[in-house]
Amino acid sequence: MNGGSIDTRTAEITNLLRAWGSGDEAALARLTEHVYPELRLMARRYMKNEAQGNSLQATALVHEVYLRLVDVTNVEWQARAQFFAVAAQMMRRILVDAARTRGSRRRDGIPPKVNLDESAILSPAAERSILALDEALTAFSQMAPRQAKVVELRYFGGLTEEEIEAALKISPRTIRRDWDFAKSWLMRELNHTIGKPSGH
Amino acid sequence: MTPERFRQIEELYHAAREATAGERAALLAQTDPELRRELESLFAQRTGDEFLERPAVRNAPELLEDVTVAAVAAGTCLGPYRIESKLGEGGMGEVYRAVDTRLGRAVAIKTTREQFSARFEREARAISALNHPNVCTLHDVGPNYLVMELVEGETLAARLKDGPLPIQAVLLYGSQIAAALVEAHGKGIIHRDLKPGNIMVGKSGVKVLDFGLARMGQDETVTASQMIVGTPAYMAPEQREGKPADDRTDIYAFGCVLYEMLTGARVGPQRRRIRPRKLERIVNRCLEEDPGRRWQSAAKLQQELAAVSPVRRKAYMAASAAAVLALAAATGYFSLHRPPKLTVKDKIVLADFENKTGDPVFDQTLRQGLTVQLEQSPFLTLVSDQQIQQVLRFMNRPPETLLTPEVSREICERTGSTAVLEGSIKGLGSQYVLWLRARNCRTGEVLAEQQEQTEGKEKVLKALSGIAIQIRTRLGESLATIQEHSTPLEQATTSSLEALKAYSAAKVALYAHGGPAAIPHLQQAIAIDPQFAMAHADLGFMSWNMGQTDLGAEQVRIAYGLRDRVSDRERRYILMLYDRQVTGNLQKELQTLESWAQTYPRDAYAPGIIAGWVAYGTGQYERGIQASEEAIRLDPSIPFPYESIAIHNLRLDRFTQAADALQRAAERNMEQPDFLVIRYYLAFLKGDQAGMEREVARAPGQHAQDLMSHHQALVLARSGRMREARTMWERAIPLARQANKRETAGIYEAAAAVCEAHFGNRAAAKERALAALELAKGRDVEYAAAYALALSGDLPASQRLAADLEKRFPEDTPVQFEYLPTLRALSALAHRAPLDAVERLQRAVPYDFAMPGTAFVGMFGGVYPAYVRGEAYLVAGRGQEAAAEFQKVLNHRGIVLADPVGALAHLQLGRAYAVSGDRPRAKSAYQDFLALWKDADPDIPVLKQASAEYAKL
Repeated sequence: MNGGSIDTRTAEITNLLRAWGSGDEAALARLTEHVYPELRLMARRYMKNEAQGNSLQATALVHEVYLRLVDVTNVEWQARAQFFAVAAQMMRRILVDAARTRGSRRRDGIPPKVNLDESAILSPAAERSILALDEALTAFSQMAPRQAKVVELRYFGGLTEEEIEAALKISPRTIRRDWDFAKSWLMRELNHTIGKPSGH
Repeated sequence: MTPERFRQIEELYHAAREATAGERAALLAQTDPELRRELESLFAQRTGDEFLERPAVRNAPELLEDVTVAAVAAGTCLGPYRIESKLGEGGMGEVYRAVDTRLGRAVAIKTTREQFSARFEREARAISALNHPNVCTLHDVGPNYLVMELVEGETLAARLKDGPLPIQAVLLYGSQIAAALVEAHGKGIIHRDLKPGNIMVGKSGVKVLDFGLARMGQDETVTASQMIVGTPAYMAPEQREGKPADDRTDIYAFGCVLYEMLTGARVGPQRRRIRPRKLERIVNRCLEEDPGRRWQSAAKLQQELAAVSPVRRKAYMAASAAAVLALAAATGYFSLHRPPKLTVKDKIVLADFENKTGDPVFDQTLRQGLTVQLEQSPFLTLVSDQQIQQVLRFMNRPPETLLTPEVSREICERTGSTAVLEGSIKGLGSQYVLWLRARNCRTGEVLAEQQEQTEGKEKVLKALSGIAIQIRTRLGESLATIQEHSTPLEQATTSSLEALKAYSAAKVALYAHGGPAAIPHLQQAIAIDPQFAMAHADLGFMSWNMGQTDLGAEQVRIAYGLRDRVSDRERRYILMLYDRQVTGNLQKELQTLESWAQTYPRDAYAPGIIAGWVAYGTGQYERGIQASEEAIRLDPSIPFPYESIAIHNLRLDRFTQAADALQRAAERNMEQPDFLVIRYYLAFLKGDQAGMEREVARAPGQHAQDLMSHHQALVLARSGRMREARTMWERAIPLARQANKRETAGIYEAAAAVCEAHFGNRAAAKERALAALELAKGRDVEYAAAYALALSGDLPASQRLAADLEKRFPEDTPVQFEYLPTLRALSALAHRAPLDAVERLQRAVPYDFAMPGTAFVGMFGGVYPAYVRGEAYLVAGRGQEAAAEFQKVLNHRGIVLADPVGALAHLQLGRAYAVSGDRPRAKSAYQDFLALWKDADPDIPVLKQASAEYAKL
C-alpha cells in the first residue's frame, strides 16, 4: 500500500499468517478470529448496498479483505494461497448464513442456475442458488472431501490451479480431474436429472 | 450410497473420460446397468453452454478440460473442438481440420502417437506465446494433441517442385522466415527442424510451422545418440553429431532453405553460384560448418537480407525505433538466456502521469497518448478503462479518481495483473523530462525504467512515442512486432496536446456517463485538430449507434480519408467502421474484424463488435453469442456483450435465456438503458401486460420516453388499435424532434406509414411516408417509406426511392439483399407478375431471418422478404408455398416482435389454406387473426376484408 508504517493489527495478522504457513496450527485459530468478522462485516455491507445495484463477486470481497488485513509485501506466495483457501471457506459460510437469515429456502421445482465456471455472487437473487449449491456440496464432500474442497476454493475463493496446488498439496492433474468430476456430479445434483444414486 | 460404490463410479468416470470412443463403449458394456446409468447421467452434464470452460475471475486457462484420446474421427469432439476432416499424415501423427466450437474458428489439430512429456507441456506454453504473422500459432495443447492455426496454402516444398523462385519472392519469403526466427529466438525457442516442408506459403505471406516440436517426445534421460532429431538434408553439422542445438542451428537450416529457393536444388557437396553476390555471401555464411563463423543471430541475418532487398521498410517507422534496435543489437539483447520480462498473458495497469510542470494541458493527456501507443502492441495487454472503472466502483471511489501509483497498485492486485506502469513529466525551463517505470505490483521488482528529455512542448508527444517503444522492448516484446506495430503518436493520433486533452476528456465522459456525454468533447478535439482521425471515427461510431446514421457515415468518411496516417490497430477500426456505416457491406466488415481478432488475440474489442450489428444484420445469432462470450472472457467489464447475448437469444426465440442474460448483466452491475426495451418485448412475447406496463413506467428521461411511446404504438397497431397507436406516435415523433433526433423521428413516421399501408389506409400511409422523408433520407427511412408508398399505390415514387437506394448503397448488405429485392417484388406484384416477384426475392433467401436496419432502432420490418414472397405465391395461386412463407413469419416471433405482419400472417395463412382448399385450417387461421384483432378499430380496410372473407368460408 503506502510506504509508511504498517499498523500493528496488520503486522500481527501478517505474522500469524506466516506462522501458520510455517506449520503453527494454533496460529490458524487466532487468524480466523481476526479475519472472519472482518469478512462478514464487509459482506453485510455490500449486500445492503445491493439495492443500489452494487452486487459483486465473492472473490472480489476476499481480495479486499486480504489487502486490508495483510501486509502484502511481506508474505510468501504459498502463505497467500493458504489465506485465500481459508477465506474461501469463510466466504461460503457467510453467504449461506446470510441467505438463511433472509428466509431463503431451497424450494422444489426448476432449480436455480449456477455457473460453476464463474464465481459466487453476493446478491439476494443469487441466494437460492447458493443454498442449493451448498447443500449439494456438503453431501458431496461426505463422499469426496478433497474434490469438494477443490470446488470450494475455486468457486468461493477464486484460487488458481497453482494456488490450489499450494494450499492442498495435490498435483495439477489431480486438481483437474477432481474439478472435472465434481462439476459433473454437482450439476447433475442441481439439475435433478435421472440416475439419482440409490439410497441417497 | 456406499463409499465403495462412489469410488467405483469415480474411477470409471475418469477411465471413461480418458479412453477413446471405442474403448469407452467397451468399458461401459462391461459394467452393470445401474453403474452405467450413473456414468451416462454424469456425462450428460457435459453439454451446453455452461460447460464450455471459461477461466474464472483471475485465472489463466490452466483448468482446461483434460481429455485424452488416442484416435479421432470426423464428427467427434475433442473437448471444445469438433473434428471435421483429416488433412493428412505428418511425421508425428495425423493432422485434422477442426472447428473450435466456442469461437466458430477453424483450426488444425495434430494428434501424436505418444503422450507428450511433462517437459514438452512446459515448452508448449512458451511456444504458444509466439504470436507473429509469420509463425503458425499454437492455440492449445492436450496430452497428446496440439491445436494450431489452420493455414491455407501450400508448403514451400510443394512450390519448389516447380523450380526455383524469382529473386523478389526469395527476398520476401526469406525476410518473413527470418522474422519468425527472430520472434522465436527472442523467446528462447529453437525450431530444430526448419525446412521447406515446414513452411507454408499463403496469400498473406509465409508461415513457419512446428516450432520446437521436433523434440516433443524426448525425455531428459535419453542419451546423446538417441537425441538426433530433424531432417538429415537440413541438419547442421553439430546436429548430425548429436550435439546440443542453439539458434545458429536454425540459421544453418535457414541457409539451406534460401539456397533451395534460389537454385531449386538441395545443398550438396557442389554448390551453385548465386546472384547477386551480396546474397551469396549471406547464404554461405549461414552454411558455415563451424557455428561460430555463421551469422550469430536471426536479427542480424534479417538486417543483412534487408540490405539486399528492394522491399521498402514501412516509411513511417519512427527514427527512435531504429535507434533502439541498433542499441539493443549492440548491447547483445538477443542473448537467448535472458528470460522475457513479461509474457502475453500478463496484464498491465497504466497509472496517470504525475504532472510536475504546472501546465494543465498535460493532465490526463499523457496517459491517453501512452494508452494509444501501447494498444498498438499485440504483445502487451492493458487493463481496460472499463475494468478500471468497475474496480474503482468496488473500491467506493469516484470514476474520476486519479490513478496514483498507490491506487494503481491496488487495482493491479485486484485484477490479477502483473505490473503497473507509472510515469511523470517535469519541466526544466524549456526542457521537458519524461520518465516511465514498470514495476511488478506483487513483488515491487522494477521491470523497466526509462527517461527521455526533450526541448520544447511540441516535442513532448514525440518523446512519448519514443519512450513507449523503449518500454515495449524492455518488457519483452519482440522487435519484429514492434517494427510492425509502431506508428508514432504525433502522426497516428494528433500532434496537438490540446486536442489530445479533449479526446481524453471524451473517454472519461464515455466511461462515466455514456456516449452522448462524450460527443461535445470529441467535437472540440476535431475543432482543434481537424486531422484527428480517431476523434472523427469515434464520433461517427457513437452518432450512428444513437440512430443518426447519416451523420455517423459522414464522420467515418472523414476518418477513412485519413486512414493511412494512423496505427495498424486504429486503421482496422476505421476500416471496420467504413464498412459498417458507409458501404454497409457486412461481409467485408466481418472479414476485417476476424483479421483484427487474429492479429490481436487478447483484444476484447473485435469480438465485441462481431457480436453486434454485423451478427444481427447477417442473421448469425449463434455466432453473435459465441463472440459475446469470447469478449466477456477477454474482458468481463465491458457492458455491451452481456446485452448482445440477450438480444441474440431473443432473435433465436430463446426467451428464457434472453432473460437470464439480462439477469447476469444486472448481477454484475452492468445494467444498460436499452435493457428496458428488451424486457418490454420479452413481456410482450409472453403476453404479460403487467410486465409491459412496468417497463414503460420505468422509462427514465426524455430519450426513453419517445422510444417507449413508439414501441407501444407498434404493439397497439399490431392488434389493429390504430387510433390509439396514432396517439402514441403523436407523442413519440415530436419528442424525438425536440431532442434533435430527426432521423429517429423519421423512423417512427416511416413505421407508422408501413402500418397504415399494411392495413389499407392508403392516404394516411402516403402522408406519413412523405413526412418521414421530410425528416430524413437515411437508408432505413427511405426503404420503409418506399415500402409504404408501394403498398398505397404510388409505385413511381416507390421506384424512384428504390433507384436512389441502389445508387447510394451499392454494397450495403440490407439494401442489396433485403430492401431492393422486397421493393422490386412489390413492383412486380403491382404489375401482376407474381412469379417475377418470387424470382426477385431469391437473393433475399439467405437473409430471410437477418435483422434489417429498420429493426435496429425501430424494431420493425423483420422477415418482410418472406412475407412478400408469401403474398406473391398467394397471387400466383400456389397455396402451399404461400403458407410456408407465412409460417416463417409466425415461427420467428423473436425477430418479428410487434410488427403488424405478425398478426397479418395469420390472415394470410388463412388465405393460403383457402387457396389450397384446406377449409378447416383456413378457418382456424382466420379465427386466430380475428381473435388478435378483437379490439381493433372497425373501420380498418383489411379487417373488413378479413371478416367478409371469413364469412364466405
